Amino acid sequence: MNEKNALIVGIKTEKSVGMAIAQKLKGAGSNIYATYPDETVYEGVKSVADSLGIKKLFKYDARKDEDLEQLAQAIKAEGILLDCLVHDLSYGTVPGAKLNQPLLNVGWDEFADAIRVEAFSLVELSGKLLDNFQEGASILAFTNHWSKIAIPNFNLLGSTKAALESIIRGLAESLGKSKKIKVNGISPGYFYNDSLARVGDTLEILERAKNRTPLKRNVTRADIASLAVSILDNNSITGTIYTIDCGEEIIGNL
Amino acid sequence: MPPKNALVIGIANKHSITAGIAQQLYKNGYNIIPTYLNEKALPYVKEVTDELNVETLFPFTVGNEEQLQAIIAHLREKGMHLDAFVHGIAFASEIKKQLHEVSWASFKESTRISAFSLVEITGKLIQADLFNPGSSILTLTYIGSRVAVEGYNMMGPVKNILEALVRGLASELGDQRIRVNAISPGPVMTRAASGIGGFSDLLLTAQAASPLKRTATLEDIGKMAYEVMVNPAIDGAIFPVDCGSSTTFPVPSTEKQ
Repeated sequence: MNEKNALIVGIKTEKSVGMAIAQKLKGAGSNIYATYPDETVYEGVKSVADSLGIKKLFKYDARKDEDLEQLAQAIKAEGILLDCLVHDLSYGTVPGAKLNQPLLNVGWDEFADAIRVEAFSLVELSGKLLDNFQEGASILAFTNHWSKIAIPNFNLLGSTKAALESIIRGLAESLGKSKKIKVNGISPGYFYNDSLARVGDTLEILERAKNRTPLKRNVTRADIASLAVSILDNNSITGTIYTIDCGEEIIGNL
Repeated sequence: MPPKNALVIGIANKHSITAGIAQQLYKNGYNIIPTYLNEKALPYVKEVTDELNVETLFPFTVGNEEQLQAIIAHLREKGMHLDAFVHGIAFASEIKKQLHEVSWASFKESTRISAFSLVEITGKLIQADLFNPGSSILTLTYIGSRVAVEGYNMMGPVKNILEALVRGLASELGDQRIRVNAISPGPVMTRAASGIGGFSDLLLTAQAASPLKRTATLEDIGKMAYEVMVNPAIDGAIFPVDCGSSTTFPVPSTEKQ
């Protein structure tokens, strides 16, 4: 059997969930390709990538047309046929992200920027790389419960996740039809990651989330990676968002 | 490490979804403790369980306390504790009737067999202290709980009761580190499904509705069920495995090509 190839977009540090998935895929024999957004973080991503033995790093800033173009050309030039694409880009960690603001303080340019980075980039990546996807390949993106609830001062991020979830279903429809490609999302509960760190009070948020769950624990990167690999491998699922949150979202309070 | 044990209720024959789940559990080292509905079903159940190295099968009908106690007594005698309980039971005597024609007696009976049995059996197993911490309970539901599917009739509301029970039990059993989830497969031609009017049309419709133009395989359903059961962060969740047929809305073309 041919070796499988996975492109993981959004690895930043060794704590990135993309990294945990990359490890599992690598362990199962896949070649891992990854991206870094710009030169300021290159060294950091490179050292994480090297520790895992990533095959190649491509520059990709979701805000830049030319990066998308070059990424697509590079993948073509290398002759890489992708079996899976993991998308873990978050607007919260890009330079200049407009966080901690009510919606009424968000300008159109900022809104469009957030939607492109966190959501529409999935359309751009899968569209531009389509020729380099295997028939029956699998795409996975990361969302969260904020798509369905309002979080004071972080409602911009709710809109981006709402966009992403709808894009997942839309791509599942169009890419399934054209190339039997499956597109799914994972919606994890709160766990320590770079975007959550930007929100502030991370430890308190994690503690409160833990106490809301029936299991009194937070989801771990290993739990998420295990589900991710299971979804990527499964040929009977597409267009679906899977919640993994230790039961947090089902609990209401009187 | 001692082998893990799974009580699997609901295998009718090799086409059963619970058979697909039991196969994956067995493959991953679980000891399978299956039940069968009655003597008539037994040879078809054995066809599945013989492949899973099963020695003892237990007769079980919802509401039969003696039968449940016999399972519990057996587990106790062998010093076995459960790591998984798979609930795949559904029945509706008036499934062929439209919802507005259904009698209360039939609805009530179906609610007990297809939904509340999850509470009853789980409760008895907990009373008997038969679950290991970290155990997983899994049941089977269908998208007919959330949208009215033609032909699914009374099972829609009954499955929605079941889904609410999944959330309720998950919230109550978390402190014992027992997780409760459901898999929601697209239509699969099982013995139970054969009772649903127009089921072959439903299968074809789901296949046409899927962007992948197929329906879920027992193996894929079983694999997702296994992931849900062993993943310590999945709780109170309803996981579809339906080839996208419930999240996409195809529009068949009527225009001539």
